[in-house]
This record gives sequence, structure tokens and C-alpha cells, in this order.
Amino acid sequence: MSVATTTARMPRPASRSWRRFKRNSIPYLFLAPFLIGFVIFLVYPLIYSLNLSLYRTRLVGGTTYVGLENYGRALQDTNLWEGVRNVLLFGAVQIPVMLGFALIFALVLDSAILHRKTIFRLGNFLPFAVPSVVAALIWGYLYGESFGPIAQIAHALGLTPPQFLTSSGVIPALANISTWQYTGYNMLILFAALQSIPRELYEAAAVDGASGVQIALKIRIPLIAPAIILTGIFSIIGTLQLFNEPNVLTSIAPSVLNPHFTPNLYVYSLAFRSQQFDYSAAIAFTLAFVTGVLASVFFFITRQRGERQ
Amino acid sequence: MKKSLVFVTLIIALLLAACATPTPVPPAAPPTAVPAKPTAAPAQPTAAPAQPTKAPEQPTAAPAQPTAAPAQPTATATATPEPTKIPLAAGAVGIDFWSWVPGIQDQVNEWNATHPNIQVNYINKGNGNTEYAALNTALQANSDIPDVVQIEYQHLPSYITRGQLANLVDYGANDVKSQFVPWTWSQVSQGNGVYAYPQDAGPLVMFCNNAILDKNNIKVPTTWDEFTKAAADLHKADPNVYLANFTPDQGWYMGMLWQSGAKPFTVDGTNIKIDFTSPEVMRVAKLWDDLLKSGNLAPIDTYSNDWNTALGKGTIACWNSGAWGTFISGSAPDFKGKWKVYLMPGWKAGDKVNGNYGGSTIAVTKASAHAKEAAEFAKWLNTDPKPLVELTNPDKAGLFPVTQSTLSNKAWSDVPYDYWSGQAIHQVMAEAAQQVNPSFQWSPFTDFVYTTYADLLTQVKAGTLTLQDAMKQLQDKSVTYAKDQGFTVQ
Repeated sequence: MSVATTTARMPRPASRSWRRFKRNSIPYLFLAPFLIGFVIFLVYPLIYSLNLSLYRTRLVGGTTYVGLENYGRALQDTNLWEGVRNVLLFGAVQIPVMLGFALIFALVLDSAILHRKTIFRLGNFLPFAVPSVVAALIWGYLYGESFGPIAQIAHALGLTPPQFLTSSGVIPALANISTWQYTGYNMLILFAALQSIPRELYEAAAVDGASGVQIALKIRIPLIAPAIILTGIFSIIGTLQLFNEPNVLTSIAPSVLNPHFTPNLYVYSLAFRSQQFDYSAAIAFTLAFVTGVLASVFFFITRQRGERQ
Repeated sequence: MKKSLVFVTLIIALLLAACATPTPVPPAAPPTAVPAKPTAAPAQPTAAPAQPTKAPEQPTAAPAQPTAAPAQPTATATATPEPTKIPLAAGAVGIDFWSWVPGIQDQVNEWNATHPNIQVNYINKGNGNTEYAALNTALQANSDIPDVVQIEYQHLPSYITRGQLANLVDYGANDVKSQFVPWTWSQVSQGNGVYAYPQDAGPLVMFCNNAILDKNNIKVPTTWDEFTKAAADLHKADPNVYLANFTPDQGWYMGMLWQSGAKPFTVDGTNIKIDFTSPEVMRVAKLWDDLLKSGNLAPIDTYSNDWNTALGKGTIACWNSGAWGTFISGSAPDFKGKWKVYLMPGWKAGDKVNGNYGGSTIAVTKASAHAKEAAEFAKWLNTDPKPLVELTNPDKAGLFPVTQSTLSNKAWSDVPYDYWSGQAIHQVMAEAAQQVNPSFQWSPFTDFVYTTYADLLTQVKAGTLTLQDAMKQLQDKSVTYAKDQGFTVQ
């Protein structure tokens, strides 16, 4: 009965809604390539890991559903928080230094002071093109205690060489690698932002008698504040996910860098060495939460300050 | 309307994603899709219309790399070109084999040529931890699991306890038990089961550069007391020179405990006894505590570039390590004819107890669809004279043998080496191998023990903790972890 009525009434509304559907679906069709990739490579793994993190596999007794128990363990896990403390310590020094340099370089590059801009730009950006594993290997060599060039120069000058690969020296050593590597990248972002500032503003300021430094402080930096905040957020996220550099240096200084020196190293060693995929997933989510909180806090603080001005 | 459309798209995409194999890290190995009956006896492929009489074309042999030590923690992975997949003859079975032994492709080729019905596909997934990462991922994803896999002794129990390895007793492993050095067999056994074939080992020996020792009138120490005294005397005689350094590798320290007669773990099914505070453990911790504190040890980590440089310059005289440690000759070419191999210093004069550092086994995974054939290959690889002679050849893979026949083979044991002062070093090593304490056991959670030790060691090296206190902490943490994992701790 219902079949008969549906077929009788179907044609008109169907064709109209089909046309509407066609019109509305076209944007999604264009989005599809991205969306499919996004779902397969990000959303699905996230759901998979989230599911994983709710179970617990024991050597004796097998797999059981434990709800949020893994998260409870993660919160009390000193290894995890020691790692978070390490990267925060690292970031508190490294991010301001790196962004400071990036800002200065970008301002210099954007001003008319410099000749041979391409060399300067390329030279600063080149370290970013070096894979971080290779970078860590290069620096591992430079830091070497008896054969490294830094130590050799210090010996030649009769000085005690700085101890990079020791428990107190390793965080500055890592910070140095990251600064070397990412300053050029951040410089490019800031430089691009500077380029979009209308030149008339500078001319007007110059007519009013502002010096170069004043223009930089009062016009250029405030105008690129959003870009600076962006690089800040990127850097915070990158810092909390520090992995490659300490991972490579581990083989060079195994007694200095432990397997949970950074949270990501810990996640990796839990999952792929100890087969604790479940707990590792819980830690990864906890870390993502911490990262999100920190990035948001940074964002709100900087935005509030910007609005006040 | 729009919202629901997004939702529908998401659902469709999710379904698509769910259909895809859920592998977080897709292993590169091609799956061995072999339409063969696993039950059919491989020797009689009667049903096959095309008789696989002709041996399939072999890929060109990979050049053997004699330098890399088998289980050396930092050795670079020897790149062996992956052979192109050989199309299998009808009725033949395909076996995936993961190993990082340099040049083992030669042995695989040899097997493939003589066993047309069991074709082995060799894949190098990298050394040690790199391979385990791939293996653990494959096991977790339950896809692309190798049939035959190389696993080091210390990690075997964790795979056994998880039930991931096949019991080789079902495939006649006990028939060849007597061919192996007894302690290696007890390392691969648990209860009545045998879960791998020993492939190679690293009985502890002491490598010493006599050019340094003779110059400073130091005698090669035969006990640990003499070792401590020699370290002090040598450093006093020449402040730039040290007798030894500390090796910050977990396997090395466990070897030292092993050599002291310690039994940190006694495992019986789900019962476990943990003892990191026994006198045998504590004397090792105290020895290295005192040496580290004395300043008579080179402040250099083994396997670091600094360490290689120190060996080359002759500022470190000795190294206690597994028998595979002969690779140090590459770091100190100028001291050719000066180095020699000695038995380990004893805890008492005339002690005949030794430990082991490194070495691997060849296991068959439970997930293998062709466990019988895989076990056959694993047995052949580790007991047949042909691969044994080849793999233990120092000019090739140079694995340290674990079969009695190879250890007593004059062609292997009696060869003198110019670099090693013309010494027949294998005789000393074979003696060291026979003295290894057979009752040493690993825990099913070596990874935890290793990472915890590594963590504690960073504090020891920073001077904020003694090794002796570290052992007490290791004891407590291991007990907590074992209970947490469901073991009954005695």
C-alpha cells in the first residue's frame, strides 16, 4: 500500500530535492578529498586511540575494560610530569629566545638596512630544511666532549670545555638545536606579515619624525602581533611534542637522556617498546589536553593584552 | 540540512576508514598471500599440476658486512637490499623472516634453493628495538606478522608470556636440544616449552690493550679486587689513561650481575621472585659505585664517539663485554697486535662463573599460518652445519656460536688473529661460553626493568644516587610493576 502511494507521489518532490541536494552537495564534493584524508588519517586514529586508552592489557589476566583508570594513572605518573616539566623548562627559555631572534631578523630583513637579502634569508632558513634527525646528529658531533670542535677550541685556549651532554647541560644543548633550526622558519612567517603592512604608514611616521626604532616598536610589531601570537602557539605545541632531537641524542648520551625525558619519548617507548599501547594512548591524550590548555592560556593572555592597548 | 549532510559525509568517510586495515603504522612488508594448504606436507606437492622442481630465480647475494656486531646496541643497521618478491610455485609455502644479521640473505638463498616448497622472504626491519617496534605494531594490528623473527634473549619472555610465540616442542625442538650449549637452551625454554632456537651469544670476556698495560707495568687483572687496584695504579701512573670506563647499557649491567651469580628474577608461570638486593647484586653495584667515585674510570660512555676516539688514542685500556666486542679493532687500528682477549675478572680467584651480554634467538610467531614450515626453517638455520659455519665465520656475520659442534670445531676455534696478538681468541671465548651461569632468568617485562634502570642510571651518573641505592629502588619498582601486571610476587 505504502509502496504504491510513494511511487505515485514520488516524481515531483524527488526531483526538486534531488536538485537541491545536488546544489548543496557540490561544496562537499570539493571538500571530500581533504575530508576523507582527514578522517582516515586523523579522526579515525584518534577514535581508535581513544578506544584503546579505555582498556588495560596485563601480562597476566589479559585485556579488560578499565574506563578512565589509565588517565588516573597518567595523572599520578611522575615519569610523565617530569617529562612535561623538562619540556616546559626547555620552552620557557627557548621560545622567547627563538622568537626574539626571529623577530629581529624579520625586522632587519624587512627594513632597507640590508644588502644581499636573499643570502640572509636563505642562510637563516636553511637549518629548517635540514631534517631534525640530521640536525641532532650534527650537533651531537659538535657537542662531543673530546673530539667535538667546541671542546677542541676550548682545550686549545686552555679553557674547560662546556659540558653539553650532562644532566645539567642537555636542556640548553637541546634548546640550542631547536633555536638554530626553527628561527628561520618563524622569521619567514613574521617577515611575510611585515610585508603586508602598507608602506604609507611608515612614510607617515617618518614625516612625523619617528625614528627607525620607534617605527619598529610602535607600528610594525603591534601590526604583526597576530603573527607573533601564531608563532608562539606553534612553538608551544612543537615544544611539548619534542621527540626527534632527544631521541637521536639518546644514542649519543644514553646515560643522560632517559626514555621519558620528554612526554613524546615516553609515549613512544611505552607503545613500541613495552607494548603498553593502551596506557600510551592515555598519556598521549593527556599530553594533547595539556598542550591545548597551554596554547589556549597563551592565546587568551596575549589577546587580552592586545585588546587593552 | 547542511549539518546533516556533513554528518552523513562523516559517517560515510568513517565507514570507509573502518573498512581500511586499522594499522597505525603500516608495515612495509608485502603480505604473503599464498593459496597453499598449510596442512599439506611440503615434501610431496602431489596435487600441484606444475611441479616446482626448478628452484626459483635467486636474487643477487647481498655483500656480507663483517664489521657489525650482532647485538651491539648502537651498530648501524646494515642495509641489505630487499630482494624482489619471488613468485611462489604452486603448492609452495611463503615464510616471512625478520632479522638484522648482516648478510643472512645468503643463508636464506641457500635454503630457498634447496627447499622449493618453503620459500623464505627475508626482511631487515632494523636492529633490536627498531625491529621490536615494527613487530609490536604488527602484533597489535594483527596483520603482517612475520613467521620467523629474531628476538634477543632478554625480550623473549615478554613475547612468551603474551602468548605470541609458537611452542617449538610441537615441531621437534627437543630433538636438537643436545646440540646447544645448555645455558642457551634454558634461556629459550619456559616450563616444558621451547620458544626459540638460540642463534648467537655474547659470553663475557675482557678485551685489553697490552701496549698500555705493559708501558705502565700493570698486570691484567684476574679478580675484581685486582681490577680496582689496576684502575687506580694505571690512572696514577698516567693521568690521561684509564683502565676502563662504565658501560651505560642495561644489557651490560645485567651481564655483570649474571657474572656475579645473581638471580634477579625467578619466574614460574605467573609466580615471580624479584631479588635486586642480594649480596651478588650488591657487590656488583658497590664495585662500580667505588670505581665511579674514585675517578679512576674514564668519564666516557661506551659506544659514544668519544669512546671510539679514546680506544684509538689508547687512553682506555680494557673493556669487559660480550664476545662480539671484537669490533673495537676497527676503532684502534694503530694497536694491531697489542690487544688480547682474557676471561673475566672473578669475584674470587679461580671463579668459574660467567655472564652473557647480547645475542639473539630465532622464534616462530604463534600467528604464523605456516608454523610447521617456519619452525623447520628456524631449526635448519641454527643447526645445519652449512649456515652455522657461514654465520659464525668472522669474515662474514661473525656470530658467536651457541652449538657445541661449532665451539669445538678446530676450523673456528684454533684460528690465530694478528690483530689480537696472534691469539686464538675463540678458544678463550669458547671457555667463557661454557662457564655462563645457566640459572639466570629474565623477567617478562625486561622493557620496564631496562627503562627504569636507564632512568636511575641518569641519577647515578649525575652523582645524586649510588648504584646500590638504585638497586633498592629497582627492586621496589619492579615488585610494584609485577603486581600491577597481575603476577604473584613472592
